[in-house]
Amino acid sequence: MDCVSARSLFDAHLDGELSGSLAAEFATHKLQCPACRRELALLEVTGQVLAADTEVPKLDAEFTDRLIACVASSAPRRWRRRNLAWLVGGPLAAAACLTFALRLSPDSAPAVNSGGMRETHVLGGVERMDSAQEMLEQIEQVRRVHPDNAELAAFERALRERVAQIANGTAQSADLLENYGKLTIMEILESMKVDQPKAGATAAPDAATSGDAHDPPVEDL
Amino acid sequence: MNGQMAKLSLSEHASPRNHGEEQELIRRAKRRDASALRELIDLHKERLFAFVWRMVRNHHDAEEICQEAFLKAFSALDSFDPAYRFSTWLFTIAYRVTLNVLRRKKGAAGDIDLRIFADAGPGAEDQAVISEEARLLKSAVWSAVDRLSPPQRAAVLLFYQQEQSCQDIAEVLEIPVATVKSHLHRARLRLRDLLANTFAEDSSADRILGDLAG
Repeated sequence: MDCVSARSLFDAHLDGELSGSLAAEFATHKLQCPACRRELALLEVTGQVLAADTEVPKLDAEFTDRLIACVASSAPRRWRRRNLAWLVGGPLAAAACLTFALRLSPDSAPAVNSGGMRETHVLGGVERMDSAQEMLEQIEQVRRVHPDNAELAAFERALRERVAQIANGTAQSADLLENYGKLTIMEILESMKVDQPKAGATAAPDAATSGDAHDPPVEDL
Repeated sequence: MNGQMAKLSLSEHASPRNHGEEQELIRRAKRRDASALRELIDLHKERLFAFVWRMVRNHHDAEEICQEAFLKAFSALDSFDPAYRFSTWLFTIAYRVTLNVLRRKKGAAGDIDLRIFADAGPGAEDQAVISEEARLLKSAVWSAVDRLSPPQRAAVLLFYQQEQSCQDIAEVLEIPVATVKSHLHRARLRLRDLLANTFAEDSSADRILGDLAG
């Protein structure tokens, strides 16, 4: 086996697909050829370094909680109505969902028309308005049960202001839509000087649901 | 967000259940059972985040992409066929979202998280020397991987880090198996060229390579 043939088998060898007499010939050439041996080592060590390196930044501890809250905020209305108790922690996370949905969804990416004015995609804008309105409705429902919750009251005020700004369909509001999309939930809370509620907010004592506030009962949809 | 680097062993976090158990989990999740949804998230979030973070090199973006992927998966859960693996489907969605983000960012050079090049811990002198060489090698390899095209990078990450077969990678990237092999082949050539230049200038890394070559 010459070097050209051997190097044509590098991928098969690295993929673990060489066997039989071909594998034996390849191994023999590798033993006899320092250049091929070195080149193969370069590829092998690359794979070994990649496979061995498992260091990644730590995922946020509240990732799952936030995600579950997002799922709940987008659930059908009749399912949400039976689960008021755990929505105390949900709206803030739901606002975060709205935030990153605005950032990541291509539908919300502003386009520049010939006049140089930015405009939001109508479909994305309508969807996001619906999401914001639904969040406000959830907050209103929870506030009937917890009328003295200052955090919710402050957040409702801030959200209503944003919704009003988004609803005014002008170039200014298009910029505000994009800007709102860039705000994280932490920035909103910081501006309101409110501490973020801890994960696992307690359920209301007279909640319609029973059991863990994070695990509403299953309902067939 | 925290700045901690977690040592994530692919074999230590929750291993995927057998297929029958996963099918039952999916059935419960389709009924919007929150505990089932939570279990699905916890089963897959670490691996998914590791893959996405390596692709975009930004903690905040990676977390948002993962959330988006889960939300999209859950919103389309009714159409998911439990005969297939949920993880493959989830990774496919995440990959699509990742590509959208990368296209919008148009080059992630400014967002590369330099924490991956953190120094090795203190130790004996010999150990420190070996760690420095290993650090250089790791730095060179990842620097080269980051310069691959997104499809090549994804193929490399899924093959070496996620230990996926070429068939699985083909499903995630929604391309033929032959194209996956082509991506791996081209990626290896590119990595070889990039690393060869690095090792030509770095005698310590070159020594490691010489030792490995035998």
